Amino acid sequence: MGKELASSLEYEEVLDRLARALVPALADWCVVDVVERGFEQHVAVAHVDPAKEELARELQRLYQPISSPRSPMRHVLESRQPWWIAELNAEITVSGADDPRYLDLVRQLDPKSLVSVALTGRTGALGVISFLQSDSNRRFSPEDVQLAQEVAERAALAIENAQLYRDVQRREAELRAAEDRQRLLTEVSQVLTSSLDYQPTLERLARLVVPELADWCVVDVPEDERLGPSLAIAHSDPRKVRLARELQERWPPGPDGTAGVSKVIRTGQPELYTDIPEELLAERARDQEHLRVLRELGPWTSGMIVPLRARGQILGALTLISAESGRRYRHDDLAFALELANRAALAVDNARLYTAEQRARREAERLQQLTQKLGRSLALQEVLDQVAATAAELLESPIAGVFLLNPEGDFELTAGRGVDLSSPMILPRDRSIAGRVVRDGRPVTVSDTRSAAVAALPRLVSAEAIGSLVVAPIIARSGPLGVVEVYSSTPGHLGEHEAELLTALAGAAAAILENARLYEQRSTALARLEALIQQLPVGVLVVDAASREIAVRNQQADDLFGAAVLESINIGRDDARRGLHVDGTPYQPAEWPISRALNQGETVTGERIEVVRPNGERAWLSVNAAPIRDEKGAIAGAVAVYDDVSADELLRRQKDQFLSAAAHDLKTPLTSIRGLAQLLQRQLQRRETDQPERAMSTLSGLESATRKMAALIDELLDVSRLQTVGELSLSRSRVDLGRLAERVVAEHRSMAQRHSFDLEGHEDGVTGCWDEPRLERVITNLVGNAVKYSPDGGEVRVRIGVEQEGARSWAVLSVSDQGIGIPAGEIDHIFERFRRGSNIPERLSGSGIGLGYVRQVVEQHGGAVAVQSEPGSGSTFTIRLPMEAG
Amino acid sequence: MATILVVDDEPEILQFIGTALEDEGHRVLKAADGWQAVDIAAQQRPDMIVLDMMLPGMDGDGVASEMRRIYGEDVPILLITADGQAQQKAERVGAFSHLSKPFDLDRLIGLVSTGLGSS
Repeated sequence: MGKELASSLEYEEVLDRLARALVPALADWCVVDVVERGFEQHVAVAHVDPAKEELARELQRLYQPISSPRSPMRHVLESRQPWWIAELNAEITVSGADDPRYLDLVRQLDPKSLVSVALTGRTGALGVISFLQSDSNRRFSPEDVQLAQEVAERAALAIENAQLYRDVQRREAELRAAEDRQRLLTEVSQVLTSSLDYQPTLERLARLVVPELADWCVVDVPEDERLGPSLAIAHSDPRKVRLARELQERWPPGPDGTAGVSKVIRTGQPELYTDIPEELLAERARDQEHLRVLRELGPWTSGMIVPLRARGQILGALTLISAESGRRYRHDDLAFALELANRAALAVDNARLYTAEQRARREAERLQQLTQKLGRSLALQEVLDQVAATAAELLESPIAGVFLLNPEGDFELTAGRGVDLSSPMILPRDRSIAGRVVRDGRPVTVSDTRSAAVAALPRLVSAEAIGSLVVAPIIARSGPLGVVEVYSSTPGHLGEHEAELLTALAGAAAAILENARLYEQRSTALARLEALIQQLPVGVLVVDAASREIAVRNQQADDLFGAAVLESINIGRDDARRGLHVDGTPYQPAEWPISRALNQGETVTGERIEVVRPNGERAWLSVNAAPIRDEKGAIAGAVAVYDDVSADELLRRQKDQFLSAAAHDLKTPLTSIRGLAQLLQRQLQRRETDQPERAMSTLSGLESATRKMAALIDELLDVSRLQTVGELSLSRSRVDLGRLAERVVAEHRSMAQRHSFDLEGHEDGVTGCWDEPRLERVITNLVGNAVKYSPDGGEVRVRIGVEQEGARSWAVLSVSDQGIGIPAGEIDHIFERFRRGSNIPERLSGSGIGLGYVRQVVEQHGGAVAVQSEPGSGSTFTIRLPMEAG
Repeated sequence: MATILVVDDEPEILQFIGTALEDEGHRVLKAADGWQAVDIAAQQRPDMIVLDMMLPGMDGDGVASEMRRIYGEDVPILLITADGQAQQKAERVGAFSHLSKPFDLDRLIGLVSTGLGSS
């Protein structure tokens, strides 16, 4: 038996063999009861009757006499004194017991004699070995007690050895397990750091853990704080994994979990289920069917749920379940699971940060792309439309609107995507989210309109309800411009992140909108300027320094130079305009005033240029030009203004003509005077005193010449006075118009031998209070013109009469000739100063002042001049003078 | 004694030129315009013409070309002008000399003798 004991090294087996070795030789029934450090208890039971052995085991398990502080067994253990009852009777065995099962077991086993001795090893009491006699009806003698003590001594040694061996084995196993876990952790870490896509990583982790650490490994990571299907489910049997997936589909994890994964995620506290009893399953099952499937998935032995925690946040939960392996989790397993979960959480967190960063970068790129697209247009409405479209696109929402502050300070819908723009929509500043957003300069998000009191939601959407919305301010350097609002029908679709994105977009949009606005304002200003330039009575050209092309020009400039010519100009280089300097030399491209202003910064004023218009007419221009400088003073362009001074120039030339004609006319009487004076001198030198009539004739010629000269000078003075003052001061006296006409006709009759004169009505005594010398010049002019402009001779008729017009009487004088007449188109201009008919031959002299003078004098008398003419047949000039003064 | 046609539309000028030339012993024909001058010259060939450039009706140019048409280059013309381009006009007309208003009477008489002498 000693051999038997020594060779058996498996601790439990040692105890069992020990008990069996002593039955039936020493007793019918043997119980070895070992207690380690007061709590770990191992019991081996052997009975001669295998059928009763199980009863004996039950009795031992139920009543563990050694654990009871006042039991005889306890006394044996502590006192190390044997307990011997040679003759057991019912009185002893059932005394004080009222448990029917106990009584039943004792009755069936029927113990008759008992010896219990302590098992004492080198380290102290190990337990108690009890011997009982029943079926053989034997009784223990004092010798048997002695033998039992000897057997116990040896058994104790064997037990102690087995315990030592067992402890060594156990430590080695623990060491191996620790090594295994370390290896597992290393592998897990490698897996976790191998990829930034955390879902497949966690799936690999789950497969790695199974079956080494658990039979089931489940990873749950809620998305947007909602627990959906598990991220990873691993089991060695793929069929069971499918079943588990189906289970989750049929009974999805609810949001209101008060136990299990939901609770762990909510509280962050791990849960350890050493056992998973049937009751726990029943408690967790939603219904009978659920329970049935749960059972089908079993067996369920033990489980742990640990939180995935990173940076203080619970990201999810790791569930480890022991099933088929029958392994039971203890606290050290839980510690390991927590370690595993921490690493997994770190991986999830890193992956999420990376994903978030990736997403942010993608969104930033997208934002940049969209903003660039925005920046392409400068038309305000186009930009607004694009902002709305971009906002909707960026936030993946169907509806977006841009509301701009109107002059009243309210928000007006100016552009939108998915909204009705046909009718105006105004958001009041004081009662809208937009107003709050602009006031605070911060975006507002309503991620779930059902849970928020969103007052006065604009009726942007008629069919769909608004689930979530974001409003971001558009604030430019000059101040707030408005808001951009984005709506989604899905609650939770728009959140803080979308608010950030929209704010970024609105920021970019603000600058672009402000630019567009300024551009539009500038365009308006430019349009005004353009209109102004077009309205100017002068030609205007503006050249751009960069292109050297004409940037702005008006119709007047086109009329002067020709549109095609202006379009082809490259200032200072190519210039097809035809212009002449005052000395008649043509302008070179670099000589034009606008070119000098652009190239040399010269300011040109009043430069005279004669140009040839596109229609071939010549025009005289007075040109001003100046450089246009930018804020730094650099020449950005040049402007030139072309004033058509052709009329002035014509007048100037006509005045020159008039002056030379006047000088010419004055030379004639002067020649007479000088000639007659020299003739008189010669006559006197020859002492022609015998012929005084010859000298008298010369003197009367002199007198006549001086009178003509004086009259001519008077007329010139009148013309000059009319040019400067505009009117003559008349000196009136009683004048007989007939006699005056007679005198004038007589004078012409003596000179004009090709013309006949016909005078009528000159003896009718038509008189009035008029300026006689001037009236004489008027008649002289008319009669002179009649002679002058009928170079082939003919009759000159002068008629004097009276016309009644109501109470008024008019003295009328008309002069008709049979001369060249006046072209129809020129009759209206014939009385203008310095104007002569275009059909007057070059050889006819004339200052062109005559008829202008005639009209002036007659009108100043309160009268009027009229003309009737037919080219080739002659003209009739008629003057009407009021008979009464004034 | 030569017959001299004086053409001028100014009566006083006709008067003093005529008297002065008559005093020099010439026979003087007077015309107040171009047509009259051509008429007179056609009836009676003058030995010389004192011609004012600026005339009503036919001007000096016209008269000169009429003279050439009738008498060729034989009748010398003394041209009287009032403006600055007397020399050019004289050449154009084919006058042997010219005078600008207001001219010296002695010079007129001198040029008339010269003209008559050269022909």
